[in-house]
Amino acid sequence: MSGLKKFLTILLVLVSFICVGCGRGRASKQESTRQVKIISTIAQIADLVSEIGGDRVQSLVLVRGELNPHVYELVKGDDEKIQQADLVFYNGLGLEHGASVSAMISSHPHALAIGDSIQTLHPEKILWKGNTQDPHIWMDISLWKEAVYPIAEAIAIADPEGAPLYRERAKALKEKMEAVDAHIFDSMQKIAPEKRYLVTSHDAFRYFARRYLAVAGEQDWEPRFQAPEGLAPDAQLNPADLQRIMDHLHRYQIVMLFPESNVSRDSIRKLLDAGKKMGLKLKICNDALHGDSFRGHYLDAMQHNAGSILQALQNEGNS
Amino acid sequence: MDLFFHFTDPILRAPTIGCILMCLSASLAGVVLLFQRKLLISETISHAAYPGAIGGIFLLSFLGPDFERFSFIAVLVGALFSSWLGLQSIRWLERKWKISSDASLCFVLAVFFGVGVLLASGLQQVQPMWAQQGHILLFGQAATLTDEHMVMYGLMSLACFLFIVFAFRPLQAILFDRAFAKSIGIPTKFVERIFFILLLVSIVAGIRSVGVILISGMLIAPAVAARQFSNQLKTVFWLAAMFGAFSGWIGSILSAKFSLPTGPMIVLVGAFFAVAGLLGSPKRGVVFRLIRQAAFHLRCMEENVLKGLWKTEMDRHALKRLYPSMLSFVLFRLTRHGWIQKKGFVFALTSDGRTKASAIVRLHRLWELYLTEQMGRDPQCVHTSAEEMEHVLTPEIEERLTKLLSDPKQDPHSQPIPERSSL
Amino acid sequence: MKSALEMDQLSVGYDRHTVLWDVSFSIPAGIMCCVLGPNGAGKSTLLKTALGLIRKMSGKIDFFGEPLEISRSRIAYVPQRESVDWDFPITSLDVVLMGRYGKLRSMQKLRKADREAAQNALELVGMSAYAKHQIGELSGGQQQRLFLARALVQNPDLFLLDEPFAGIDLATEKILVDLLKKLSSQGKTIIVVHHDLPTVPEYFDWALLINRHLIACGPLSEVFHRENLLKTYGKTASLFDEAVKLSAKSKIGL
Repeated sequence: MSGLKKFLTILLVLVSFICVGCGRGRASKQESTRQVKIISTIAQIADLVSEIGGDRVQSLVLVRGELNPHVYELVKGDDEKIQQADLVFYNGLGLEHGASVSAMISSHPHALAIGDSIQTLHPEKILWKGNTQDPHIWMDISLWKEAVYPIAEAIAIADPEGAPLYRERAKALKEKMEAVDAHIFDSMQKIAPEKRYLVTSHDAFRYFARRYLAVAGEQDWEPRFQAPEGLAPDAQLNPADLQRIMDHLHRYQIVMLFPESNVSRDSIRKLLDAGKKMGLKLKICNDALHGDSFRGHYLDAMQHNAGSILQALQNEGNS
Repeated sequence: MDLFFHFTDPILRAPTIGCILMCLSASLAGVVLLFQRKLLISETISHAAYPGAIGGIFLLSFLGPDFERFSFIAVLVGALFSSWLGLQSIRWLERKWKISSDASLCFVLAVFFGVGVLLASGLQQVQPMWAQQGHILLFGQAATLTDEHMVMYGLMSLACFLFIVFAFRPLQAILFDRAFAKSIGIPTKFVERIFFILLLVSIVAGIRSVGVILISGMLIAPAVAARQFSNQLKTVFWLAAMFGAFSGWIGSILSAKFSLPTGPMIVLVGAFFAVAGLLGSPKRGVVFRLIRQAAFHLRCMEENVLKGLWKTEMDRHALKRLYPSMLSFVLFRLTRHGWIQKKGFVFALTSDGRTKASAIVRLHRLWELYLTEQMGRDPQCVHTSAEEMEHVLTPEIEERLTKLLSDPKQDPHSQPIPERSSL
Repeated sequence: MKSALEMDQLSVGYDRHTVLWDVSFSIPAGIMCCVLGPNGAGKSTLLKTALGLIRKMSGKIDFFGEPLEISRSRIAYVPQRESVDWDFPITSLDVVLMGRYGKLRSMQKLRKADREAAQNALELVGMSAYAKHQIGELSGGQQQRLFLARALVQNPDLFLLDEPFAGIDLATEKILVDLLKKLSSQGKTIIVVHHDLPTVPEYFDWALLINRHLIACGPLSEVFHRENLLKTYGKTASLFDEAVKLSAKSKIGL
């Protein structure tokens, strides 16, 4: 049996080395100049945070790049980021439903739901689909700008010294957002009402449609935006949904389909294919829209979305 | 709901027909596996296909988003490769390392699928847009099948079907008695190799509509269901194909109607057929067996009453004491059959009844004699056995007993053995 | 006259053990020969190797002077009953018809002659009444008779039977032996792997005694005696088995 004992001893030694090595990594890294560490789940929030906080904050994003915030789960390294963060901002309204993320949020002492804050301010403006809240409120800048002051207040509580600065920057940001909001509104108005219909892969643009695509005073703005996949683009797709969209395309003579940057194009390709067989001339836009994932700055990305939509819908075949 | 609509509408026809074809070829392959007693291998192969499929998507993703529509080819090639690799691993483990079949199947399944899951989560981090292509492979997504898919899967199904048709005789011989088949010159290795290729193809094709996790259900359920309803190999194949096709068709309709995922719906319908077969098959199904059991039990009770009345007429009271269970029903049936009649308060045998009762008593006493004379049993102990056997012995066995015991006239208790009925 | 089965220096092995070595013998046509030896002696292996079911390591095997590929149609194999799944959905008649598959081309249909031959074969073994029965319903003896019927239908000149009398009742055994003897008297060669020594003198003309290697092969009067039987069934071989196992294990590091 000595062979077995030898093996077990070596194993034990190795394991203890590994444990010590890991432990060492957890030494605290307090820096001299104390920045407020803020981690936001999505870039749309993180961008606001950097604008408001400036140099006094270190703004990090959890769900980076093209990753899907609906189903994101924590990976190696996220734990540390979160542990060291002073504040956590998240969207709420049911966006982040990955189990590990929800657990992290509920256990962190300083977590603020941006969407919930906006909901408290303007409960009637939150959209619902059936019994589920639609979390994509960043698509409506006039609503999203209401997040700015709550963010500023939260950072001010963590860093009272910088409070005046934060409030000032918040005001400036809000004005900037209002300007962009107006600009996008105007450019969407340039599209003729009968062409102003948006079809993408999943239900990310309902707020966008209500704010920018609806004709003034239009109560039933829902047809302005439809998508085959539901609020989260990871559920099972159903032929009934595809049929619904086909009927919709047919009814409103819609020609343009818009892909999203981080969602599979299977569903709109299927629509294209079926449409061809039914005699509808459909096209897929070359430009992908930002739906859930925003690369670059939030406001720039929104402008980019508007620009793509304007170009595609204005210049589509004059037939 | 217009059923033909599902076959013609451009949105619905590819999912519907695609599912039907995929399930059809899977179920044919499943029948062969059923008789080879290797059904579990389908589970391992489908799970082993997963890492290859993800790998294929990963490699394709480097070409850019415009190539996303070729995902199904990348998936097919990758899945075929890794499932083939899985198969070779199983063989290697069994032959070289002498690991038992179920252990090597489990091992390959777990390792390959685990690698696949790792790759899938890696894919999600690196190429999120393509990750969804990998995600739908787990439970299938028939809704986005296009006509091109349908044609390709149709060809695959046709290949499976043609193979079964052309190679039916060699297949039948190999499945029944492989050594004999080889001895008469049938190219067993060649046929088996072709079958394995088609098995891989049908599993990999089925993954798109039913998913990696559940596709083995479509190999197993229709084959099991078909086996319950037939005792001819050819019919088993036809029935399995039919059950498979129906599962694919009804499953995809139900999933469209109730907004539920296609894969699980198809497999549930298939499982329904299997359960229906196990319960309701005329020969082997539980339901019919219970019915036959009850009928036999009733017959035994009737015959016991006839035997009792053969000895002496009895009134209802006496009968009730000897045969307490279901007496009224038994008496009713015996009267209806014309074997007993009621004379006042007393029940007696009719002449037909007397003939029948004599036959039963004859069997009883013959059997007792057989046990004591031929089997060396003690005459005290033979009565119980005879009570059981008198209801079961066939005329053929009676004839053999008569011959064996040299047409005896007396039983071990010196009681007379009734004559054979001359009819 | 060419011998029915002739082997020259046959060696068979797998996983680096040799199971049979240097087996050389010649069995003439028209006789009934039993293959005798203890468990694990290689009797079934001999038969299976002759039929190409197991690959040989070296040596020559000839049937009627020709290799297997040419003489295959003249040989019928009756394997052990356990090798088959008796729950398989097939009738007795269809099993017998399988004997004809070797003679048919790819998609060729079974002909009337084939069906009649099958019916006759069933008649010969006394199983006509069970033609349409599922094989699962048959008793052990009936199954064995069915296998023989399948062999009959191939119209062979040589029958190779692997333990046909194992686990069947005496009555069936008698039927089978009588049938085999009749075939032998018609000039067919019968080679049977047999396990029951007392019945050897009654059933067979020749004996082939093996225990990993050939002990003897010839007419009963010459080879079926105490000395040879001791050599065949004695304990000396088991020592060899142990040593071979040890060696094989050491070679692969166990």
